[in-house]
Amino acid sequence: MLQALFGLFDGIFNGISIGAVLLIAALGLAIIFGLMGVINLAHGELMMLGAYTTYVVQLAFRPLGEPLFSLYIFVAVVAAFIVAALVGLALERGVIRYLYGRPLETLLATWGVSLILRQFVRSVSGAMAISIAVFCLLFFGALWVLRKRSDWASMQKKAIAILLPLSLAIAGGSGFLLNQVPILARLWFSTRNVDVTAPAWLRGGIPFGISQLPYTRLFIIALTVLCLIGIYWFLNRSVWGLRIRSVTQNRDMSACLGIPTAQVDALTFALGSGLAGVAGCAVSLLGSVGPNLGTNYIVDSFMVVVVGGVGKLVGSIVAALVIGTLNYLIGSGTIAIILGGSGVEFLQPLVGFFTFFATASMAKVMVFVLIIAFLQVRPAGLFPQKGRSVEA
Amino acid sequence: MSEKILDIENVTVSFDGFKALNNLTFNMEPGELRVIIGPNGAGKTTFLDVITGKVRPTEGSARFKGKDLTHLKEHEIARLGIGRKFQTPRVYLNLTPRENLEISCNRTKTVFDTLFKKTPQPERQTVSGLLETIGLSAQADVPAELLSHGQKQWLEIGMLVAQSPDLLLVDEPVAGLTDEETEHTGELLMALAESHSIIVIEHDMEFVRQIARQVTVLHEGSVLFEGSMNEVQTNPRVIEVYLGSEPSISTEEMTMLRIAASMAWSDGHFTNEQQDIILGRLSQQFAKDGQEQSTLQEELKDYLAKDIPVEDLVPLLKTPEEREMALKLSYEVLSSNQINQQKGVAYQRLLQALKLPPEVVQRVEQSVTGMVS
Amino acid sequence: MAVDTALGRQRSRRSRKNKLLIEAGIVVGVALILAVIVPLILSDFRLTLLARFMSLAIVALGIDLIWGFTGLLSLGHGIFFALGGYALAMYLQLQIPEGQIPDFFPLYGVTELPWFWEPFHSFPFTLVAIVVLPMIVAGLLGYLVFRNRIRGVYFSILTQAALVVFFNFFNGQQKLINGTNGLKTSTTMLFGNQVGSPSVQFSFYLITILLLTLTYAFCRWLTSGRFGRLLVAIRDDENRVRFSGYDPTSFKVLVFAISGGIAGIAGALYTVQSGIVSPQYMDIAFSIEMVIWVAVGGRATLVGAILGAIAVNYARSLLSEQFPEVWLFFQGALFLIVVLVLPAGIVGWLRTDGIDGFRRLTGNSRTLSTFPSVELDESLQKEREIAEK
Repeated sequence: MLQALFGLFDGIFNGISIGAVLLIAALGLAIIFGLMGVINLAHGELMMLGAYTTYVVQLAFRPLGEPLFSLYIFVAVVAAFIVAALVGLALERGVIRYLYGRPLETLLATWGVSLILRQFVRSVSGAMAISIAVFCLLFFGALWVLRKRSDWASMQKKAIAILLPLSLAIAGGSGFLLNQVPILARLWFSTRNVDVTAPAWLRGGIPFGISQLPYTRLFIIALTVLCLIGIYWFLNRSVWGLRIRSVTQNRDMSACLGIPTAQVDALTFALGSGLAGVAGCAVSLLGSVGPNLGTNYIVDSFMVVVVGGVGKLVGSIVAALVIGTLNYLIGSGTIAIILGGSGVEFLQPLVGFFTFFATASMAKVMVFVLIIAFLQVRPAGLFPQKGRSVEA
Repeated sequence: MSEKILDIENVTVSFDGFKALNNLTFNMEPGELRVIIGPNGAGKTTFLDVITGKVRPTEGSARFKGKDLTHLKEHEIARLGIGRKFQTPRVYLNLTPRENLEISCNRTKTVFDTLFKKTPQPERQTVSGLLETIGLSAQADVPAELLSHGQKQWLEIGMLVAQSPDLLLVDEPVAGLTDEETEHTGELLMALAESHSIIVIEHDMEFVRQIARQVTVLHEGSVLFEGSMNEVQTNPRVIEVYLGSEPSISTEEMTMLRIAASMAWSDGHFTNEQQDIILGRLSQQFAKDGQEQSTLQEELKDYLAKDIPVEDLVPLLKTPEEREMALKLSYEVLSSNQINQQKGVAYQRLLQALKLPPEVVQRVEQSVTGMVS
Repeated sequence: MAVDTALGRQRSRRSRKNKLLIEAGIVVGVALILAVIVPLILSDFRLTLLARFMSLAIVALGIDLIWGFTGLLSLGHGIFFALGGYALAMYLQLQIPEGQIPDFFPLYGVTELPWFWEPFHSFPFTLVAIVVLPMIVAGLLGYLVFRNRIRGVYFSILTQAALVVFFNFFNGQQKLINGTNGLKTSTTMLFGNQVGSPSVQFSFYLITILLLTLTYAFCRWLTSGRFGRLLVAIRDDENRVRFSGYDPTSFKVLVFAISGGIAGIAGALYTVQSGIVSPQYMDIAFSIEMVIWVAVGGRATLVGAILGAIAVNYARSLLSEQFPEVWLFFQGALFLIVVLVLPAGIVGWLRTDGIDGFRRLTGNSRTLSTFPSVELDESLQKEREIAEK
């Protein structure tokens, strides 16, 4: 009896901790989707950037030695947030703002960005970083200078047509030359996965019955709760939060009232991206960090958004926890074991059925089927927006 | 055909506790042209949503020619013969007007027939005819996204007709149109009304007056009033809803006010002087002291309505005394300025409509003349 | 006036017939060139490569049908592509002496053929399954999603999730379909010949040309008639379609299923040409790539889909052979450029700006015509009359 209780508690704890990871990954996605109707396929890559930031911060702290080293994780969370938010901001200003009202195209464009980011991490080196800097300096610097001229509008197209290939060529050439210098040619990150070592105080766990609750998992749950509180506070208590909520509800009206919707979009996108960075920092504690880290989480995060609906944050929370718990209960075979142990005759065929799905990947199959079934009942998710304005 | 074409009983629609429609009952005879008006948020569009199946009523029933609509899907309702035009024109922008109409005109709307059957000759002719009617023959083969707003409105009305429904639901057909286009649209709807039942939702009162025979006023999700346009314009509750305050005068008094005003308007000029006389006299009649009079005078300005035929107003007055009063007021107004020919004709029409005995008329006229001189 | 338009319509119908004949002539001509002349020029290796590109062009046609015309962005076409491939691969795997089972089964301790393999002994069944199996899966998925009015981005990410799910399923089931290793076809026998041999590959090349032409004709037929216009109408305003008395759900389910079936054909061809089918066909990236082929060529233009698929894949083989690193950068940039700068694709651009730009360069710019034409616009004529008075 005690054994079963422990088993159940263990299942719930693991479910919650998987749910927490999903939630922290989906949170940014849900906020961005709620505000702009945009799904960011590069969200997973922003997580990946967050994870790599954690790795870099950890490397930077290593020479400091204990006890300072153990505290690197707090710096890493903040750094990951900032790095991902900045990249997200650049993404919004550079790409997404041209695509509002075309959500499907946004999907494709952000996929393009995610490909570039993935390859960037693989092949970034000193030479490459310098040539990118050279390119930015030349191209955007020239644009900045030219934009001050009064006849800018008439020469805009021509100027870009000349500047772009020119600065690309210079940057490419200098990159090629710099690549001959061994120090600069060395890749920053190896193409193989890297590992983030958790600080000492996060190793081990609280012994509990037959298993133990790992500290890293507890840390992630705490981090998620902290993020949730932070987001809640930001959206409901700050000026910009109020603006974000008003634009979410009625963009045109907000614009008429003098709310700078473009800035709100940019800010929200940066915020959502920053959360992806934090999520990346969190998952770097769970496994090795590689360029494809994001893809493992991204589809599940999408499902959280789909099931949760865009109306409220609560939807995402419930959806993440339910999906996480279901994934664990089915994937670990807990259901099959409980059914098998129950000894009820007519349940026995079900045991075979659930055993068939009792692997991590097969659990996803089952959960997807359940999600599709759920959508037959609630097509707009748990907390849909209601009323006439929904389907204009 | 005693059966109602549309019969809606006790329909309630609530979104998260907010009742967009509240216990609404409405019905319509076949061949009727009904205009629905109401302030913003009265539930006009939700009302159409319920009929077309876009919104399911929380309670109540909706029947079309005796068939229950509440469990049918939108396309099934459309196939029964209910066509809807949306508030903003919604046409297929990447198709030409001809293709737009052909899609609506198609009689067999199953997947199989759409795949394997060609557009039959009669349908082609119907479409050509319709293009002529809505004035888009010349633009028949360019993408609809190139059409102007008015042309799109017309194209959508054309699509509605092409569907050959028994009941047309038209949501704000003249929003954003020029006066000329508005008038054309009115004519088009009147022509359609000869062979269809039509519900029109509109804000533009001029337009409503042009087409309306029977008007339903919605307010806070239920029917506030139903009647002719004149009855609507003189109904105190409707006025309250639209103007936000309850009039302190009765319907009869308001009618008198309007009759007198229509005299002043009959030659197309309405001077401030005339207005002051009408309002001053009326307010004197019903106010107790000077201050009350002046407030009443201010208030009455709101209720002066233009262009209501005298023949429609007079029947609203019940007693001979009220009619006498109306005559007195009108004569005062007329004699305050020079009486020209138009005013003379209008006065004669009024006399005919009032049907007062000649001696009464004479007495009133004399008393007014005496007072003025 | 009425007589005029009637005459005009007759004329336009005749010219449309002529245009159709010319188009058919061009298509058959290109197909013949590909079948007869191109094999003389290209090496066997290049020829197989071209055949593969052409089978990918078939999927592109399917994607164009749902995305270009109907506005449904599927990120999960890899499912249908792989299903077609698996169907044919299972048949080929079973081309072994009676009573034996494919050689990977014993590795996992399986001694008996799983039940669902049995029907794949039959060649006709396999041919039907290649098309019908993906159609059923697509139809079912489409029905469950569309009937709840789930659309737009939601639909796209659900198809992507479905893709991941199918990938996991095929990847995890070693005992049923050899899991992550996939099914090899190059060493199997088809009608007594090895599938990987040059002669069989050449006949697959010819079959691909034939099927590409047929698929093109089929899509052309679908999109040019009333059905095609309805698809465009659904893309423009689905609710309007509904209130006009059509049920968009059934149209969308049908077109999604057709698109899935087309992907199945392409998958089967691609499988025998590349020698293996594996869960990698259901990679997320591969399915999104399919969409970009169509986007590069030009949405809602069938020729664009074919050209786009061949062009992008040619660029891929060129770049990834020499600079595998650059390819991903290039591909990412391609996505961005197509979406931001060239939303109509190459063919769409050529049809509008391209031709004009070319004419301007040659100093032979077209005279502008008013819309629709001053002489035909009644209201303008009326105004002119008034002005003249």
